[in-house]
Amino acid sequence: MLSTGALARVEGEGAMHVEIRNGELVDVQLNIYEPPRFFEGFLRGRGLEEPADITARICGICPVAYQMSACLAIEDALGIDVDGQLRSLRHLLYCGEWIESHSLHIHMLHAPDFVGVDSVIEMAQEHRGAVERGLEVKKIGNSILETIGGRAIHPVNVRIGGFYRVPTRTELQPLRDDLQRGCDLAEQVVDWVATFDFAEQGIPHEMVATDHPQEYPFLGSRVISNRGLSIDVSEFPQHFQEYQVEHSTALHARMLERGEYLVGPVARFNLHRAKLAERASAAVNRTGLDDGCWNPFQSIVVRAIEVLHAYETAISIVDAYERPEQPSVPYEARAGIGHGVTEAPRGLLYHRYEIDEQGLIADAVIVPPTAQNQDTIEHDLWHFVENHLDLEDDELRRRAEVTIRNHDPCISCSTHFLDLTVDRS
Amino acid sequence: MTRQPVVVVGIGNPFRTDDGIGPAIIELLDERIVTVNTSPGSVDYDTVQLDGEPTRVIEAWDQRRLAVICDAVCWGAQPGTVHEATIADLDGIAPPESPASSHAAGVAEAVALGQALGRMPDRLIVVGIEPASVAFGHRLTPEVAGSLGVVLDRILFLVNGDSANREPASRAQKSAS
Repeated sequence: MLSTGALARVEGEGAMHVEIRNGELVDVQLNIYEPPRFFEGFLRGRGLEEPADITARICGICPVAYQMSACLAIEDALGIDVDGQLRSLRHLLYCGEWIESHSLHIHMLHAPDFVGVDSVIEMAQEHRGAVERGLEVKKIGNSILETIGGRAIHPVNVRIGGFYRVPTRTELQPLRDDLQRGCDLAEQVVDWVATFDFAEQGIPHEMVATDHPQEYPFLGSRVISNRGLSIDVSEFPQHFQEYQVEHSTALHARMLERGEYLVGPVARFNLHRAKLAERASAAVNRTGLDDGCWNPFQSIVVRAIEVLHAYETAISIVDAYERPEQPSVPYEARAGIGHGVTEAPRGLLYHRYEIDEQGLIADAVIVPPTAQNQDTIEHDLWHFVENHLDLEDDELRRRAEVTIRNHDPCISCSTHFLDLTVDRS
Repeated sequence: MTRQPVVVVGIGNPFRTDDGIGPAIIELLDERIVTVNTSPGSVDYDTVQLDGEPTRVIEAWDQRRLAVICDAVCWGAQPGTVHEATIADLDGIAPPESPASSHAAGVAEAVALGQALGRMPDRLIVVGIEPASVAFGHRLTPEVAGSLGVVLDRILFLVNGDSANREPASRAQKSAS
């Protein structure tokens, strides 16, 4: 049995096991060590304002996604709508998170695979300008989070109904120049990653994302797929099922009667690329993805296009911003059940809360994107290994890691860290 | 906001028991700033809570005269032991396999990337605390909670600049439990 100490450059902690017998692939398993349901249990009995801040701690990379899905679910239970400038501010905050998360994955985790180096540290020595540019693009995303969210990690300004405090128009203006500069740099990143060589691989999975009639989806209310699914978020539990597998303490997910599916940037892009902003749309044409992205190795290009779109969206929101009269929509606590779904950088993130008559959380369900993609990642790895059994173990392991990184698994959303073992006899 | 020449960076996750030592120290420092040093300009250091992601760490310490990093580190000592290290010591910080906390590796990677990009503080000191547990939970273990005072005093000593011409109190281990 061969083992790496850790699968480097994947967020989180877990393990992937590949078993080969007599030259044939017999098993691929994504193992996750730690109890992912800690947070769901931890939320029971808490006040309804607490899930947004507590679930934001699940992942340091995508706290806004957890805050947004939590707020939408609880607001659904309370029967309140957050729209207008308050919704736009949420959208802006989410843009910051997409910019930061995608830029981190592109430059720190994924690009080294294509540049042919082992790490971003090595890449910084040979391609310093690209790394500096990536850090600058990411940093401006941080500054959105600081300005709207109160701080760059685990923002503290989000609450049910909106925000604790909303910025003045003057306070947002300093972002404007940075956003314009970031937008120009993000366009360069798209053109850079589009030059990489991509191994051939198809994507056979059904693609699922949230839906909005006008917007490339961040904050959705419906869930759709490229094979005809179109449901209200409240119907999510009737169509998607979490299930246990023996080799993992994290739940997997499947669509009832349809099986494994893919969420994330590629799914969003293939379902909604017609709604991308102007420069992002032009980048789609330049990069030859007019017909969609059907190769998981090209997901790095899609992430770069989404960063560009997030910058353009952020600029539009800042330009149109007028400070809302109230920082949040008032509400009265009441018993109820609510569902919320938004697009985390890594894909669809579903929350469901049951609130009791005292306004406390009676039950919580969180379905993170990486849990939903576990079966798909295993499928991709199976396909890749089956077609490359002749590779030496070290090379097989290295390229299998690249296959996993295509999906940007943030396993800290359900656990931490990843080991990869190849068992061959 | 004016960027101070000195920064204290608390790294960790407060929902992973002793991995929360970094954020806990920052909260204590922030309380002290509010309750003790009320006159403007009396505190010439910034405080930052981070999760260990290397680029954020680099942003936090970039162009600083001194950065003090507070984090849980697994160096095999008794839980609650307080360690102190400089850049020269950091090669040994990241365990190559199965670190109990990914944040130690995060700091080591931040150092390597910061050096490659020429974005390091003039001085970097890591004050690390040996954890008893990094399991899920939102309270420090008694062993680590018992070290909070020693860690806080040491960090205040460092940021107040008294240590500029002195040897660290203990390079290796200074048991606080």
